[in-house]
Amino acid sequence: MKRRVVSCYFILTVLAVLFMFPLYWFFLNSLKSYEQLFQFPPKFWVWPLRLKNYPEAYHYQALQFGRMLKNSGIITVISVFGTVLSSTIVAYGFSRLKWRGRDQMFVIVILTMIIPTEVVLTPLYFIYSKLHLLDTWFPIIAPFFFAKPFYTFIIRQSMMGIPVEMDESAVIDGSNVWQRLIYVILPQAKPALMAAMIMAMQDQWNNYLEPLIFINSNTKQTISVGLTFFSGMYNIQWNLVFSAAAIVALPILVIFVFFQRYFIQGIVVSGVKG
Amino acid sequence: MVKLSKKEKKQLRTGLLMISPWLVGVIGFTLIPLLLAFGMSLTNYSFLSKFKFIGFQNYITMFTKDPLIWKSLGITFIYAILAVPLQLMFGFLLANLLNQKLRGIVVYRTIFYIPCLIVVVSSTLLWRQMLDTDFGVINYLITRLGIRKVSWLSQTATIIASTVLISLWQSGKLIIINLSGLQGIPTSLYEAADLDGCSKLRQVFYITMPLMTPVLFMNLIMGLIGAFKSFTLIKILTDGGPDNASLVYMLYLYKNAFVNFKLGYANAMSILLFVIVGALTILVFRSSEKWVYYGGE
Repeated sequence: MKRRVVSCYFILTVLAVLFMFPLYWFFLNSLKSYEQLFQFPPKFWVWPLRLKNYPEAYHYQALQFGRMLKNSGIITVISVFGTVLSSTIVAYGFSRLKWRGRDQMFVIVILTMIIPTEVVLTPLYFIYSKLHLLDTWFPIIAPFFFAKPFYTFIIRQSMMGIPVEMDESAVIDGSNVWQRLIYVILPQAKPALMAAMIMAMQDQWNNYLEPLIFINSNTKQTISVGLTFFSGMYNIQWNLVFSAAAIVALPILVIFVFFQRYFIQGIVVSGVKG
Repeated sequence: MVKLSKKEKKQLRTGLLMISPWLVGVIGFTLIPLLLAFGMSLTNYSFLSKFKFIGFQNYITMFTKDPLIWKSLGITFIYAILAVPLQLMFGFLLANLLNQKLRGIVVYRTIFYIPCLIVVVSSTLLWRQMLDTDFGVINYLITRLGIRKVSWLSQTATIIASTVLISLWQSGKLIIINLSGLQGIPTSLYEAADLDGCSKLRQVFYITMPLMTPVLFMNLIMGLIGAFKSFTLIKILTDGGPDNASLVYMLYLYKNAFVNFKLGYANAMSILLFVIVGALTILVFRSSEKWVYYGGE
């Protein structure tokens, strides 16, 4: 028994070091000077840390870093709002209301979850070009306002678990469908709602392909794509690229510290579908 | 046609009203584009030319005159065949370790999860630097072990190996999914097996594995789809190069559509991707009757 525990710790610790090392390297890179970054053999520790990298990256002349960061922030917040609004209502319709064909229709929701967005990017590009919606945020944000299947699924699963008696007593009290959603169901489904919000936030903050395709102007671009412009510039200060990359990575890490359990919850629910 | 009572009609109306955002979305963002993709795949449309119906010419070109299609499909298949099973095994094994009742296990769980929180663009830039032939820390470490420097991002085999490695590093979600599956297995089963004198190893094969097949099944489907649409990692790591050595399917599609502006052709590629992903999903679903255990009987 004892030996099993020791070997478990041993394997886990070795793997944990391997997993943590790139993270350490990431933040170390962001605090090195340009020369230190290209030293070989590489330095595993530097002192003093070059904290100046962060403000320098943020204010870098050739890149509108602050602007793009703000763009990503606004796009993400609006998308999370859209998810809450649309996915909640649709999940409600698929779980708490009884109507003919509901469950058959929900099978279609699950099926559409399997179709990758990547398949329809080219035709969507054509549609948006005809509607003059290219180089706007519309193509990136809009799908979140039409109940993306995945988030809807998470919320629906949790709404299914709420006891029917709660609706029934609300009906007797004379409340209508909307009142039941807001006062009875929403408070109960809050954990799933939080999980869906966090997933939507992560997805949108991470989004790379869609902004790359649909947005041309630097002033409207998101930070994910902006970061690759930064790294592609001629004669770039690579240490600043890493500070910029760290700034972009930071918001999700911070939110994770505060809302850990919702991150885990969303993943767990998404893993047991089907 | 079934006759609906007045009450049922009202219920149906309310229900449809509630789900209408999804319905509009799925029609507008999936169904119409999908049909349009098929329609456009039968033309030679680009932004420079007008629509011209050319029948199945794009598909014929794809299968007979474009070696890059086969190359990109090959690279994508190899990546999927390597990455998906490794991800599944890794996730399953690590989750088993993380499911042990040990002091401080929560810290370990967090450590393995954190890498997948790093924004993909950021983490890929990091790996690109770590894998650098001349200055990269990975080459430094392996030279210390007495192995020669490897130019990681110069040829198909090593690039695929690198991307598989990165995908394992970011497989935190998979680990958590496996872990929650493991925690759903009633401990009474293991206790009974202990009483019967069944060894720990046999318990893994006869209790854990069968009960985890539904989780593995979902992960397999999601993993396969993910592998076939993988784009961002390769785009930033190598941009398909050098000399198309790492041109995955989605990247080739992207280049045809948005660099060469061969939209008709790119749409034919989209349809092929749709067919491949659909076929794989159906295949896995079919096979699931044989190996996925849904309890009960």
